[in-house]
Amino acid sequence: MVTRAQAEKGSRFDRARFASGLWACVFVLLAATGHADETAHAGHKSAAWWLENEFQPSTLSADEQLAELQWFTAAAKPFRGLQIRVVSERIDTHWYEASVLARAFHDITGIQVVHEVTGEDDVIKKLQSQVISGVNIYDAYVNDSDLIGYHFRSGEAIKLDEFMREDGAEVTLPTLDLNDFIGLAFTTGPDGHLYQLPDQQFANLYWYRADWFARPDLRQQFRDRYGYELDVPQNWAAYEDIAEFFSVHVKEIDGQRVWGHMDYGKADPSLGWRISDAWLSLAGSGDKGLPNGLPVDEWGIRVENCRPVGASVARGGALDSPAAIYAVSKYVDWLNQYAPPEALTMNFTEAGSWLKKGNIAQQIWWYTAFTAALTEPGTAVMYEDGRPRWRMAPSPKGAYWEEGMKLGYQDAGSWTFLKSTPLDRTKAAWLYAQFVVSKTVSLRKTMVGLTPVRRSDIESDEFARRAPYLGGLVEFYRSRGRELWTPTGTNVPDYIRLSNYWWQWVGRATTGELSVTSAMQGMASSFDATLWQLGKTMSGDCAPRLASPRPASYWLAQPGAPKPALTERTQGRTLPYEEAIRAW
Amino acid sequence: MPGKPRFKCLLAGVMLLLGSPLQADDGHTIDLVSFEEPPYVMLSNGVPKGLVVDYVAALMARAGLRYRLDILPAKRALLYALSQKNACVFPIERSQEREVDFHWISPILISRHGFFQHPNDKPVRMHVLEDAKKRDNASTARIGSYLGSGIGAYLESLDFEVDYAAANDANIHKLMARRIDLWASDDVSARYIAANHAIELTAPSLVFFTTVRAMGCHASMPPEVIEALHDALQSMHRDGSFKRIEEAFTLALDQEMP
Repeated sequence: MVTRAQAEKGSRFDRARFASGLWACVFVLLAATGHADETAHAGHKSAAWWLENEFQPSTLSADEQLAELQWFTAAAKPFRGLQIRVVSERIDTHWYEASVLARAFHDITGIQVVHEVTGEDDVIKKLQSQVISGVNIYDAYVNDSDLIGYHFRSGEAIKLDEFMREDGAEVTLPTLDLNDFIGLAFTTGPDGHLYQLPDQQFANLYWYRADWFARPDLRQQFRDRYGYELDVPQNWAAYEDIAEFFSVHVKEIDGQRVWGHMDYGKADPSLGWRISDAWLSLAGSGDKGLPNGLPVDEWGIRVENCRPVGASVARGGALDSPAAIYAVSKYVDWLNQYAPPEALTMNFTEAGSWLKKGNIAQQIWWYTAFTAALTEPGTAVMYEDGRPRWRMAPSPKGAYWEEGMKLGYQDAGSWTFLKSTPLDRTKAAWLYAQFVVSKTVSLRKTMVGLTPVRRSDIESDEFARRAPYLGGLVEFYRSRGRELWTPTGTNVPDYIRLSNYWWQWVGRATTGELSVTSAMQGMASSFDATLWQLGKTMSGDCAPRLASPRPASYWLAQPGAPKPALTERTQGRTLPYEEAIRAW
Repeated sequence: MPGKPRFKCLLAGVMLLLGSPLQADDGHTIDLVSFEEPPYVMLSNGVPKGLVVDYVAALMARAGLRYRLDILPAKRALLYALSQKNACVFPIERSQEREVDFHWISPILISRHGFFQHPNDKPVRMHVLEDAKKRDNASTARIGSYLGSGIGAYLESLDFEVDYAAANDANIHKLMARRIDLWASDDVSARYIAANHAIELTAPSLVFFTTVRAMGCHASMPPEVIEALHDALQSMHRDGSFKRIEEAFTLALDQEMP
């Protein structure tokens, strides 16, 4: 983490350029304003040191960077000596924050930040614990925007737009530039209030071995067997053909057993995200609409206006609809038929690092948070010149997908502050949150973790320069794709409680304990029961209120979701990479 | 205790009977198991006591549940609750890795975990977790933890060199004998254990992690029992019961502490 980041920087950053004059000026300026003296104590480094040695490249000029750091030093004065505690999930971006940026923030402001990094499920359970107990466990959470439906209904989270105008006005960075953030639509409630500030974003995209797909011998074999080209699959039928081709027919490449599909099946909270993030949405089980389908979203929850009324088909939802059953059946079948046997017992983290082994031909969706890990030099998926042998592209769509629906999932880990945190601690944590997304720091962080949140970073020359080495990440984030790949939406009133059901029920289908149909029916019933319970405790126009059940035939005959079963198998269709990424 | 293995190391047992319509396993009492972690769970003349023992007693009373409480070594307590249908274990760290293993009654306790150094050494203040990986001479630091601790597993997953003891109180001896460089422990437990050995610890070099401690009940525990415990827990948090118990306990502890 620290070592890797520093090593990476050292190889690209021309220290000599900055050693001459400019940084001497910075140092003098800091000393002249008194900030260097105020922040420099034993073992600590000055702002000038951080600017020279860490926060490069930047979209700001040296003077602008300096001005931002001076602002942080001054704004933090009332909180100097305070120790605050924040928590986030376990990805490269957050390790960089916890190991490098927290240290820099301390040196520059005198506020010590203990930035804990743990599993995503832990993060949301801790947030839930703070809500239940009222104990201030953390001063801020980097919490996925998937919880936006909970935050705007529960009244537990601070409305950041109000905070920035009122209590937090004096600790709000004048150059924060909210319009520069690409993910604010995901963190704004239907009430128009901003509940979270994006810290990192990553998408779920198709991943494939471009080098194998380009091999004439394999292309010829595929064409002979399936009657079309071995290229980027546009639908699930083509994905399935390619999976079968590599796992069943090719089997070995250069003496190594290879597989046409990768996934994971361990009954664990991360299995829930795997299914709820993308399988149902790309199968097309919900309605059209961006960022999420309306009135039925990809979780199968129907809303009337903003009020959730049910997830089962009987109540107008789609969680046990033919499209949802199709989605999970494909997940289970492909996992069993085309993935390495080990995948059945893997979780998110274990499966994420598997691709580096170089024996997987494609993955229907893959989290771009793993881009940094998958571009490490020397692995089986990299060329010696530092370019990847793989590409990312839009994921293929399932049989029920229609134009106007979301194209995939995007994770937007975002700073979230609870009302149960004392105000002075919230202010200090707000300073840290702004620091790690400030323009002074942001481009450097983006280059380390590859999870961009700012338009200015995405449009920077530095980001463009990395394009050949990142397998399509730059092209994706420079396109409209960043708006079409969306997180969980506002139909989900309590992500923490409902998300448990995904892994609990789908896990039983994965092991064969239940049929997929029974598992989805069970899950839909659990959802309905929880919506009913939530309706007893939540108030307001957007609180859940269960609709009366009707025969499935009634709902399946209505336009939109839930949709009746399709019987015809779609013909596989592929496109060359350059054409496929036009969807972005 | 029907159907329960007779562990040689079984330390103590106590049965509390509360008149109640809600019971697990067709009228039997619920088997609660815990492990010594002073001052949360301790044995005094063979009787379990401690802050979390008090919490749980109040929780079970509020839920209207009968229970029996045994104190076992931490690892065995965990395995017991994993294997016995009618059992719950507390206060264990709730984590993503353990999420699937139990029905969770949470939060029972919030713990802060820190790194403690030998009291005779010059105090070292760490700023980030990475600082604890190396000793002054750049060799890998040995971190003391105990079997069954989620914190030990967490540090191990981050490539720390973790040295496990059977129970947390053994770590004070390992620290004093310099068999470990740092002791990773719940802050309150470490201070209590040290005080009982007349050792004054310096402030932790870094309080690096927070855990939510919970009661984990066997996956087959009846839903109505779990719901009763959830409801009781939430109402106790809301009405300040946990806070009152903590205040009473702290007062008593202050009078007892050497």
